[in-house]
Amino acid sequence: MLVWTKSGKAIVWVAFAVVFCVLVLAPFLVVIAAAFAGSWNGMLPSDPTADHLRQALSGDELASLSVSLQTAFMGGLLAVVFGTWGAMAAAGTRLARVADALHHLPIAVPSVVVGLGLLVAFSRQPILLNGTKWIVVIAHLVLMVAFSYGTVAAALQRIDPSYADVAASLGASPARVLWQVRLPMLLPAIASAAGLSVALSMGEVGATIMVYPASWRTLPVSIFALTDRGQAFVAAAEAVVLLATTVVLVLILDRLRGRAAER
Amino acid sequence: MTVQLEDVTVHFGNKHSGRTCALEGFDLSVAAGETVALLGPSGSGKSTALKAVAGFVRPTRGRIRLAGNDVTDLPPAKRGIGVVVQQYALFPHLRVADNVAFGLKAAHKSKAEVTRRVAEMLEMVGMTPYARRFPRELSGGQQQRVAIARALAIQPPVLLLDEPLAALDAQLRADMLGELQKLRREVPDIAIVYVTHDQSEALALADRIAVMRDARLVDIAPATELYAAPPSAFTASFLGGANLLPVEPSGDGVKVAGHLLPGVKAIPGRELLCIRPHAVQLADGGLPGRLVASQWRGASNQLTCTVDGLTDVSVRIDVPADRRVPELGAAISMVLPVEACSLVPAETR
Amino acid sequence: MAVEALSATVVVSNERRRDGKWLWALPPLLLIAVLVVYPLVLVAAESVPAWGGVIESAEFRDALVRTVQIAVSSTIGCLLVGTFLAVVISFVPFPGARVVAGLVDTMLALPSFLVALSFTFIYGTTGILRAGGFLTSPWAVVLAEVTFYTPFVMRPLLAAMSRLPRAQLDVAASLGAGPWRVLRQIVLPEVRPALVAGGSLTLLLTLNEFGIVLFLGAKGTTTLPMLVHTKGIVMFDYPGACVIAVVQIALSLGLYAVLRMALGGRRARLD
Repeated sequence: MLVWTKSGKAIVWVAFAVVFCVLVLAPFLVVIAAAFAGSWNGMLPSDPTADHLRQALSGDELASLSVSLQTAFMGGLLAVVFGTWGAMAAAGTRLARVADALHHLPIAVPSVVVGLGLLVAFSRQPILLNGTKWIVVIAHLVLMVAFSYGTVAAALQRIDPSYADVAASLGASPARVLWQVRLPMLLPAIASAAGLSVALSMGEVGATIMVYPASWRTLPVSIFALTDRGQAFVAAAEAVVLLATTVVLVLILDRLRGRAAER
Repeated sequence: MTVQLEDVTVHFGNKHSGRTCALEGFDLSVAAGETVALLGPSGSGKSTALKAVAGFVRPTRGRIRLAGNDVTDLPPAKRGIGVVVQQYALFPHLRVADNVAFGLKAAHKSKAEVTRRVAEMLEMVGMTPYARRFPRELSGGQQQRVAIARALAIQPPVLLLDEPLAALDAQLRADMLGELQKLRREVPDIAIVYVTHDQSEALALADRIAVMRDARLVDIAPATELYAAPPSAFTASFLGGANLLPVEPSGDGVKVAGHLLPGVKAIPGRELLCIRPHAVQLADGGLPGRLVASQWRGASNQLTCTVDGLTDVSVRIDVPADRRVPELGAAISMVLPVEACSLVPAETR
Repeated sequence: MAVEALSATVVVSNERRRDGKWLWALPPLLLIAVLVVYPLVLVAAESVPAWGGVIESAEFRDALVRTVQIAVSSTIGCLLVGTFLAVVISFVPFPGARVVAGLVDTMLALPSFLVALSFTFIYGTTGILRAGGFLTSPWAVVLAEVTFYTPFVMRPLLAAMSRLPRAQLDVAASLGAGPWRVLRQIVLPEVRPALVAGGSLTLLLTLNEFGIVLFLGAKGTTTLPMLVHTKGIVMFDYPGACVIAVVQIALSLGLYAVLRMALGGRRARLD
């Protein structure tokens, strides 16, 4: 196609392997290796141990995992509901452009600024939320709604609107068309929006670090606290917990999506 | 010989995904100035053969020679072959003139020569007024002319055309067929390999036709010969849609459904009688049968008839439109003139 | 008769749906208005008294310059690396190329601070390479951002390259063009919209990046988002943080708008 000779291909592939492994893959592998290393003073980690992982799964750190999961589910799933609603309701109306712009706002603005805004706005009347877990949930909701909206809006553009028209012409009420035609057809996109929301929420740090109260520390905040105290290995172990949890959640949601797509 | 393929075999896939054989033991040679059509249904390996010549696929086995030099291991850029693919693959971001100039610039020709040659090529295909247009602003036929001009600009000894008319509608296809015939006269020394699934294109353009099926070469011969006396049942039906009727020897002659065909000599190993639809005549004293369907085709009617005593076989007959068509279901009599009949071996599989 | 009646009801229900439909879009928009727009307006209002002091400060100017420097360098790096990786996956495919492409997709959903965390082990004072000084330099941030954001460039590129007809590359080669020429004159011009889209998204995200800078925590690499955090959370200087937030919003949204306009214009011309 592009490179025709065997030697040319070999050179390109070696270069690819080096760049991909060193630049893209290595950092993630290093974190995983460090999680299980007692020390790392040379090329390779040494003194394999599960102590860090045990530490990362006990006491405060375990509580963080639970906080992160709750936040991701509340914030992420609410975000999917509102994102889907927003995308479906705005599609094809005169509000579409406004909705598009508003929903892109939280992505275009740094998450730290989103956090600062919530802090400024909800530390005063009429809505006092500062110091509660709800301000964290809201921060996650706001950030993830943008991604959910984008995913569903993109899927809507690919779906032929005549399905809904045909259903309506067969005498189905708008509610019936929504529940039995439009939503089922969007289910794969909604499931993938949910996966993305949960994954991004699990790793969110910018807005969270601005608004979290001491009683509601998410995993990334704990990981940062650990690195700040110089406990890099435990931090790595906790990062692995975060990674593993995220992957499991996303895989489950992916399964659901697969099932939805089969129907 | 300008192009030579020897025992060229192409396998795709690997141990895990399963191998598919796209071309098996393919031999072909094309002389300078000759047009050879590779004719076959989709999946017959004709496009793979062309891609092997161009260098787009690497043969698993076999050699490819250009003007006597082995080019099997050369990348396409070093072969200097002109290629026109099905959807033309004009570069969408380059103007017509730049598309034609692409190969010349790749060969580092001087600016003056590029300009001269591009003008010459566009003149030849009648696209001079469109030099500043982008491909998307052209019709299908115009795009094809540009693709041909681009391929010929590098003065290749061989031009490969892969289904060049497949993307066009019927009327345009007929026009472009004429253009291609004219083009052939403009470049008399080039060897042309023309891949198509359409027998009328092959008959109109090719000096020789190579009929392909299931990754293999079935028959190759001058077009007229192949049409008049097809060597195989597949070629007979694919090229010209011949009727094939089982025959049994009877003394020197042959019988179809117990009916002796006067004048046709039996040949051992050839159990099928081949006759073209237009050669069958409706006249008394022939093969008895029944009319089961009739399609009006403008200048003619195509009748589909059964033969008494034969199941699973029908005969198609082209009758000029001014002749009266019998009623559906009517008994008819089909005369098979001996000069239009030939015998071919039955399918071996 | 029945058919006419049917089509008549279809038209009526269509019109009715169109009329009331936009009302349904209001609740989610209201949510965004309360949770995003209202807070941002307050941030702007809060910032007013502190403008002079912050804008004058060297701290702010340094952070602004650093932010732009890091974002631009990272984006260039991502474009180079991402283009190379995408070209190989698309046009010099190898067994497992699709797995790699899938891996790239997964990485988009991972948190960026993982990369920074790994750098502690790779470039830290006791790590693999023991390049202690590197870890506290802006180049560590750039390298981390290149690592993390390269997939953001690759994704649109892979999509665009999968739509590029293979026959064009074949024909270009048959006309005598070597790989380099085909890449420069055929592939890159044709995927330019994707390149611009991926590059501008990356520029926006690297301008806004916080996790990597926070975790590397180097003194010399204070960026604007970092400064918002320091002023707001560590120093409790809300008005000061708000000023920087406003500048950052202006920078991000301004850039976003310019790029969208530029992209929109290009797309219109291409169609």
